[in-house]
Amino acid sequence: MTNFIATHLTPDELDDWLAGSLARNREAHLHGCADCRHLADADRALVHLLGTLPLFTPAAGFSDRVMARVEVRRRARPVIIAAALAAGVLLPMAASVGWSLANPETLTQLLQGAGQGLGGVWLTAVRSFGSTLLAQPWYPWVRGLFESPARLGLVFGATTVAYAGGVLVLRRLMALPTPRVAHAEI
Amino acid sequence: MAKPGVDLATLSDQDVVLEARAGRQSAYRELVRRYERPIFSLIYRMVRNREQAEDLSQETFVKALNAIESYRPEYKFSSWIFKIANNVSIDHLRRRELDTLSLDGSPHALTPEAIQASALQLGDRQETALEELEAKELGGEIEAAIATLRPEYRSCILLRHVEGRPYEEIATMLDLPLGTVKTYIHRARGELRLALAHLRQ
Repeated sequence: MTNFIATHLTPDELDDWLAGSLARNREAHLHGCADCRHLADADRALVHLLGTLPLFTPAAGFSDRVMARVEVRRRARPVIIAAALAAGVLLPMAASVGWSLANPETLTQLLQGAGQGLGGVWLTAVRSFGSTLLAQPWYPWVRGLFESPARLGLVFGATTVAYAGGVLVLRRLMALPTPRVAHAEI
Repeated sequence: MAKPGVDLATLSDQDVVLEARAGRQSAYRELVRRYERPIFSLIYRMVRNREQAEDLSQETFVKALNAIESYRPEYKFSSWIFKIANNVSIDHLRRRELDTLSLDGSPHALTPEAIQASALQLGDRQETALEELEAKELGGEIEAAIATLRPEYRSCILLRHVEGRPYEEIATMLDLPLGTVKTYIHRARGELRLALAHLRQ
């Protein structure tokens, strides 16, 4: 303990003394040590001198010169954005309902025609897809996989692992790199 | 966002930034008004040339205000703008050091006229009114002693004891470890104590 008290003040302790928060036993050392007292007084005078340095003023019109080179961007207020979005969705909906109410017969005809047309197209597409699938050379092998529960489990497990791996890789690829400096990167 | 009639001078930096982001030009001016003197003073003491300090201060504000959208409000605005000012000054000092290394003119000079203009002139120096003003402003013993410090020490000591910024904030501003900032400041104080010792005697 005696050694600790006898040791000269460290730069951090000088800072503490300047801030008025030096430990009491170190204060005792400071009062008894001419070297530390000299250093502390010199530091205090220096810090005081630095603190009294004046602020300089740039030439007149500085602010105007800066503003001439600054691009003031007007950001739309959230209320305006919300109103625009609502109008974009609600107006077409209202127009559609209004037209439907005013022209019920035309609407019914249109829907019937579209239903029949779409139904026919859909059935043809499904049939065509089915026949193409059955004609594939690998189809019997795939079908064989589904005949045994053990093979089915194996296929399901492998697919799950591949899917999870893919998701993990994608997340790594799409993660943004962490900037070295937390802010003010210009 | 503040109501249109609210006096910007009464708002915090963060709130003024919000106003600026909303496109209020007076908010940009308010930020310039608040920081033009501290930023100019820091840069002037770093580069010790009024004209260059004006240009670099302008560059600092233009960079900061044009990138106001990228400012993150969880940090102090003052830290952000002082960091930009420090980077601008250090970059300038590095460039200037390269330019003045050769007595034969700047390595960036491409024409004979530019080489002649940038060559270091010895003996025929006439002091202009601007230089006279600089000599008056920066002529004090303390200013001269600060000028002898390494740029890293200079920015640290100015931010700590002229601007009164805490060590942690300076470390964030300058992207330096806290221990390094403390070491720089203690060494700078040591060098200044030595340089100004005769004043105390």
